[in-house]
Order: sequence, then C-alpha cells, then structure tokens
Amino acid sequence: MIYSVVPYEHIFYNAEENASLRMEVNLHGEQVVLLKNSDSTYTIERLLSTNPKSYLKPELLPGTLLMTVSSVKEAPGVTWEILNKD
Amino acid sequence: MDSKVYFADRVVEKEKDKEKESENDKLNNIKELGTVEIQDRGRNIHCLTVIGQIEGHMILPPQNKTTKYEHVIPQLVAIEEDKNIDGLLLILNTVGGDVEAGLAIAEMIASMSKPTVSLILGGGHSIGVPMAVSTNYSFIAPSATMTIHPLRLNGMIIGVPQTYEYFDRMQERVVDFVSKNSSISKEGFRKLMLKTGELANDVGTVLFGQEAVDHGIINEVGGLASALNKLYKFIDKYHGQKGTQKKAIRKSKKTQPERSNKQ
Repeated sequence: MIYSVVPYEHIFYNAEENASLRMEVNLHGEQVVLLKNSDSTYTIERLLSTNPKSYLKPELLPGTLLMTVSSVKEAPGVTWEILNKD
Repeated sequence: MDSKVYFADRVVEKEKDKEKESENDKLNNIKELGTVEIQDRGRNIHCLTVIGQIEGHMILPPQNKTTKYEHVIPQLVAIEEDKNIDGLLLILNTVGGDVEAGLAIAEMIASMSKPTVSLILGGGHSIGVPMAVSTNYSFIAPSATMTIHPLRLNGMIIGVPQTYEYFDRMQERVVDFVSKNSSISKEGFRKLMLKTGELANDVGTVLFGQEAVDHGIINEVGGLASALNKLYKFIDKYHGQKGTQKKAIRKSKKTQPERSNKQ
C-alpha cells in the first residue's frame, strides 16, 4: 500500500524500461549504485552509506567514471578502475 | 628471522614505555596541580538521508528516486550495534511511499537506544510524517512542508462497507504512531488528515515549517547546526550515564519537557 503525495500513475509510469541499467556493487568497502553507460564504462550514481565521511572520499564521488578490469586468473571478483582521475 | 622478532619486541617495549610515561604525567597532574585531563571525545555520528519514495515490497520503476527498505534497515542495525557510532541524524526529503516500509523504518528508529535527531528539508510528506517523529527530537526547516492526507485506495475495490473499515484501520496505524511519538493528539492528527479546502485535488493539510511545530508534530524549526547541536547534547547525556546498560534518551515531547529527565 503506497501512501504518497505523488499520484499512482506517476509512480508506475514506464514500469518496464531501463531496469537493468543500474547495478549495486561494493566499492572500497561501501555500497554504490552504478549506471551502465552506452560504452562499456560505468558511472557512480549514488553512494549508499550512512557514514558522512565516506561522502568526502574522491573515489566514491557520484559522477566518477569506472571501467571493469578483468582479472580472470587472479580473482573471481571484478575490479574497478577509475577513468576520469585528475 | 630472530633479529626481526627481537626488533618487533623492542618496538612494543618502547610503546609500552611511552604509555607508562603518559600515564605518569596524568597522575602527576592530579597530584601536583589538582587537575584531571578531560579526554576530548570525538563524536561520531552517522547520517541517514531519506529521499524520494520509500520503497518496500514492490520495486518501483526507475524514474522514481527511492530509499530502499533493504538498504536502510541493516544500516540502522549497524548503527545501533557499532560502538564507534554515537548517534544518528535523519535527514528527510520524501514524498512518501510504502506504508509498511515507512512504518518499519520509523519503528526501528523509535526503538533505538542511541540518540537520534531528525531534520526535514524540502518535504516530509505522507509516510514521511511518522518517520520524522520517530527520533528523540525533530527539526523542520522554515521552508519545508509536510502534507498530511488520508491513505488512498488502488487496485480492485470491492464496494462493501468492510473496504472502508479496512482502510480506516490501516490509517489508524499511521495516526497511532504519530500521536504516540509527538505531541499531537489522535483526534488532532485525524482532523488534519481529513481537512478539506487545503489541497487542490485531495483531502488533507499542508503544513509549513512553523505550522508543523505549532500543531505539536515537530519539536522545533531549525537547520543543520541546530540539529547537530541537539544531537551532540543527547550524545553527551547518553555517554554521561553510569553503568554498562545505558538507558535510551527519552522522546522529547513538547507539552511535557520535564518528563524527559525521569524514567
């Protein structure tokens, strides 16, 4: 049951599209939401943390471009590399 | 190999010596000067921001900005559990959302023993109202608004009186929670919910910053600094208690401020 000032038709508009573009990953010990770009890069969209200090870390800033680095031999997990580092 | 171990031992010994020295200094201060060094205790607060829709059982379409139940609940548990975290600042700017999820988060915050303070910026509408009052003390920005309106029906509706009764009971959960955790009475809150002539296409009331305080829903009009100061005061009070079992800071109610000192 939804209790909101936003009308139902606005909440449930366009329900099927774009659902798979976002993914949650653990980056530097914090949970972040990544948005998949049209090329094979990802952008940090949102940081999911209650720790205010995490929001000051430059590697977790929303807007940071990331690329997956495949390391098949080393570890089964995916590692991320920052692209738009200054 | 042996020399390395020896070296490590020496380092540990040196550190122990340093600790002893500083302890001796403290004792000397008490003996010679009659002063006790007060340890500066850094207050470590965590901040939970609630934005957009509160998402519960149903995943909402991606054009909605959402605060997800499964993110927030474990974070609240971690905040309560972690000894290094002293308090929680809840920042709200929400349009409402799932009743069950909103009430669950509100109940979790209301039952935390650590100090909690909320600050409403922009809007704290619908199910955002119980969330706002769930903390020990609540602030609202002067320009922020709260919309209080009845629950709406959606989906297939069977035209029987029981449908209305069911809805009334669902609504009662929200009314109950808000009246228990703030100074507004059940009747007062229900009156605001069912008021006509305030909203263009709905029944209900829009309260601006000061009005929410006047109705007794929110404790005070303020901003970030006032919210943090209040939280720091609560944290000092919480840590000032003796014994290992610390009592939770009591909910500040506007009408009975004295009661907050008694348990």
